[in-house]
Amino acid sequence: MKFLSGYFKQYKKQAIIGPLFKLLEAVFELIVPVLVAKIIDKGIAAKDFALIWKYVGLMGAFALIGYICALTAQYFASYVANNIGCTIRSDLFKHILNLKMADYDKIGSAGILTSLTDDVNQISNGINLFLRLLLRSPFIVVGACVAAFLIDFKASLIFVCVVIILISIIYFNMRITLPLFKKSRTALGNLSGIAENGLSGVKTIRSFNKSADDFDTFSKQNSNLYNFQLKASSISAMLNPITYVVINLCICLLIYYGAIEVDDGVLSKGLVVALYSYMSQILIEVVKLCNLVVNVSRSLACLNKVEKLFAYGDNSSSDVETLTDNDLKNDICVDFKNVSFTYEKNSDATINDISFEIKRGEIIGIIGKTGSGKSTIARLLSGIYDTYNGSIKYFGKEIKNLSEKEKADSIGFVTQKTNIITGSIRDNIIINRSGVNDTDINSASRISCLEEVITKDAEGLNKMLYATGAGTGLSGGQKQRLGIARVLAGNPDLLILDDSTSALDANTESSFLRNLTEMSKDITTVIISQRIRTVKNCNKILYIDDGVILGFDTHENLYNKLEDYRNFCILQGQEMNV
Amino acid sequence: MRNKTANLLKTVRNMHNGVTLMCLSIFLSVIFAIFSMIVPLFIGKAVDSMAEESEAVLQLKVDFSILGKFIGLSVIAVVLACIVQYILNRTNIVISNTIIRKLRDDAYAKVSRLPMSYIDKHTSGKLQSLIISDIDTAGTGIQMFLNQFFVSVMSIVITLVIMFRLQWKITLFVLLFTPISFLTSFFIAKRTYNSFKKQADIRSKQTQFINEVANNFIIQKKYSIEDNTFDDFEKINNAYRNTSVKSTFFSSITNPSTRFINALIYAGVALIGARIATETGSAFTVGALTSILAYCSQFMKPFNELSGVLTELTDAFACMDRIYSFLALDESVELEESEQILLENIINELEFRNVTFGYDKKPVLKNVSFKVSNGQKLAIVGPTGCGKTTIINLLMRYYEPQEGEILINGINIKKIPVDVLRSKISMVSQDTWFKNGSISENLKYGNVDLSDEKMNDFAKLSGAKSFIRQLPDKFDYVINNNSSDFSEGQRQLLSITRTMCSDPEFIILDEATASVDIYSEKKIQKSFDELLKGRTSIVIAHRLSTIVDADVIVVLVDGEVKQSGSHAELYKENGYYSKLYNTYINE
Repeated sequence: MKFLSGYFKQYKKQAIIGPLFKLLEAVFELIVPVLVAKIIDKGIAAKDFALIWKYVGLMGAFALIGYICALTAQYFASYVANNIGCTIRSDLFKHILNLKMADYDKIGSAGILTSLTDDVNQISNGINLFLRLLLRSPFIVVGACVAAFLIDFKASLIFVCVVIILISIIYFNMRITLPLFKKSRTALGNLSGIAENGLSGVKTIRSFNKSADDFDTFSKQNSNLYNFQLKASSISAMLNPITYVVINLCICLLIYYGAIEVDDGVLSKGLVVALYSYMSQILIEVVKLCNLVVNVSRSLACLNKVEKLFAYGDNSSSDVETLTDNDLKNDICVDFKNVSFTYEKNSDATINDISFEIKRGEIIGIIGKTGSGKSTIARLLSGIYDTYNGSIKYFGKEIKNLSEKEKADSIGFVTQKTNIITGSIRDNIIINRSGVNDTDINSASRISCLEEVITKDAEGLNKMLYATGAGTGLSGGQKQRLGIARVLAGNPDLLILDDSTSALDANTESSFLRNLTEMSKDITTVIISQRIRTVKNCNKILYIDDGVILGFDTHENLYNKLEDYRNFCILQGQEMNV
Repeated sequence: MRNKTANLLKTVRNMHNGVTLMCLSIFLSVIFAIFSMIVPLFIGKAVDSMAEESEAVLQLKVDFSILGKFIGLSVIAVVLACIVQYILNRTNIVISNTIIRKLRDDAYAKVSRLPMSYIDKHTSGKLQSLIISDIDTAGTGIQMFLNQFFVSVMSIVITLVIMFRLQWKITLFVLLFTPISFLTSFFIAKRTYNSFKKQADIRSKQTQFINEVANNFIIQKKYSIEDNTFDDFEKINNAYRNTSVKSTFFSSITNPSTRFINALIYAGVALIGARIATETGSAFTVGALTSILAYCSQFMKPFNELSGVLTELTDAFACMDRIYSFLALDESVELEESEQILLENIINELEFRNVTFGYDKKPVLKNVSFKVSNGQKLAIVGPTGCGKTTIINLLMRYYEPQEGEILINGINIKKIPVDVLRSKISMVSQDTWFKNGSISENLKYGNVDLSDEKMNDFAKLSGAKSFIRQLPDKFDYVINNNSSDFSEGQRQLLSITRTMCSDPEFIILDEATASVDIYSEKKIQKSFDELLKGRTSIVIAHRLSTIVDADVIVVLVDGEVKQSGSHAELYKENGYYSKLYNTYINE
């Protein structure tokens, strides 16, 4: 709530004007039945034509003023609601963009998407309804009751009863149908899941001649959904007839009671008609009020979720150090000293008290089994995670103290999987960076062997790629080449390749590795792989297992000295004839 | 439009009892409209019972017998209207949900009859949204139409008839307003619809943008492009801000506008009514005025509902259009030849004879020929993109060759019923897919009658047992195809076990293991060897041992067979193969 009031403050004026005008509209609406009563009792009875004109004129005027009020109110409600919604979305987006990788892992991409779209929309929707109906509906319901009270005390008791009965009917109906609708939504979700499963496996299903079976599974759940839907809808379909019957029976009661009062000379006929009008107004507003309650409570739940997202990430920035050109001439590129690291989720490998040093311009291989911790080292090197113990120096500066921007500019990190964005190949290489020019793109695609993919295609660099759907049009190996080119185009000082040649065929991989050695001697390269063939020509190889370094030396030396490493090589058919 | 209505009628006619239910729905709509519309008339008469004495007397006397009669009639009409409305709604729910169910079944069944080229070209998400969301929109539209269309039309007619009988002058006045009312609500509905559409466009753009950023979050961090991304986002967000203020506003002025026009009609009616009532000797009573005022205050409601239904219906029709054109798509012709050969003998020989094929104009396979006989292993090698996987697609008859033929025991496979062909040949492909269900259900996928012991044996043989054993429910553990419970290597092992369980005669196997770590790769290779033991097979080979001990090796480059023969023969030829082989051993 406190969170929201901050946003309301930005649109204070509009947020007050909206409901105020809505209230005015309601006032004018409530006066109309009184005017009609006057026409009937005074105008018609006394045949006072001037009086009738006067009241009809007033009705017309009130209608117009009421309409203008309503339009004003609706506009401001929409203005405030959508502006607050979009501002929250914008703030939330910015907040999320600046989260650390570890926080992102906790929230997940699906959570981010629903919060930024559905949840924020729901909040905006809730604000809109709230501003529009907050004052109007209760005011009309209460106002109609009060008007009835002023006309006749006993009649107003009927009004109070109607309101109570209607609210409880709607309440109970919702109590019963909401869980039923929830169930049928789950059933729909299940059906959707079955369809998704079947549709993504058409080839396999056909190969096993299982199309008929697959259809049965779908059809069964489809019938299931049908039954749930029928049950839920049938119960909620009672709401309209029941409220209709209640309000109309009460009108009958009111007229009958009114007739007795008229007979006793307590009430006038016009006033009975007025009571009748008020009764009709109540029905509409009570229904609206109930919808308001449901919608606003749903919005509040969304608001809660969004607020929680804002609570992520304490951006306690440590002392920011900067890299100077002089630093980059330092002979030691990377220096790990007693580094330990454990993941938040604790599912991946952790590393334990690791120390090593990489000199500028070296090409270093890191090798080990799955789960040995080699990818963890890569991530620490890239500076994405900064909750490690010990010290990681990058050209003499503690890596966690460097700004995100500085790290991103200087360190190029290629992963196994290339995240394709929707756009041309060129867009995918540039990815929104301001400083990447054609020369960078060309040399990057030459080194990464992407060039041959580009030249093969008539569209060249302009070939479109799509992030979602099957139609990326690139094979796994081609995507990896794109990933490498993307990083190289940023002219990094340190290049980290985390298993990013795994899908390349042997020929392409070796020509890429050759290209690497021909790059500028100022670029330091770290190649992480589980294949000996990929790293064996590196200057030095870091052999790691269970988060501990077993050896850091050339391939030959490791092979000769380390039995474990030798077995690892033999397993991969990489025996050496010594 | 006529075409679209025809679609709807077709659906109704195809439905069990469809026509009957439809007629019932229309009939009930009429009855409900009559009962509900007659109530204000009775109430007016009841009000009139309060004025039986001369108007000159200050104190009115009430004729309670007339009052009682009309109140009684009102109560009956109200109760009947309530019951009829419920039955009507219920009938419409049954109709629309039955249509939804039927269309879903039809659409899903259609998928299995479509040619593979269609499936490959369309993402499963698109088909899913057709089957789930589009059909839902169509169904909701139909239900809303049935609930409101006939009732609204009838209400307007009945209201006018009753009002004419009460006071024709006033009714003429109201009629004058009718086109204005209708145009107003139609105009607003149209405007709302358009601006909502614009908003929906921007919204989907925004969702796509957020989705990409959320899924590729690491890119933001790696390249530190947060500021640029945020600027792009703000552009979309501000566009969204502007349109959504407008569209929300438009959608929210329907009710006030209706109320305004209603109020004007109301005032006019009050004026004319009062004037007529004050004329001396007028038969127009206060009660009649009350009735007319009551009718007036509801007069706009059916117009509003009609225009709402019409706009909703445009949406529903658009969806229905998509559904019906999907249902009308050409299906794959599984059997071209009239004669069907059931292929009772085992596969003695399989031959590709001068096969040429391309997914579009560009050929992927050019004049490819090779032959494999009973018990042999044929290996296909070549660089990525040379057309290796296409061979699977042709052999399984997912696609048909444009030229040449594929023969089994000398018979063109076009003459063999697909299900017979597929029961003899099994494929193990790189992308593993599983049914959402238990492991045993999946392993027995191709052989439902297999005993648990046999399944257990196969799992042991393939090596899958070692990790199944560690699962909480062992073989009953439920797999979700999308979840990452299993590593790629484990999925491969499961897929191999599944094929072992179905015990095929002939196997076509794509053994790429790129995304698997070195230890799993060893396991999978062992598993492949077990699977291929004693079976005829075509293997898309990625490893040396497979290639070397294959009976026939086919070297495929750019869709053409460059070399074929045994390892020894090819090695001597000093062509692509020997180069490839040398890279392998020199690694």
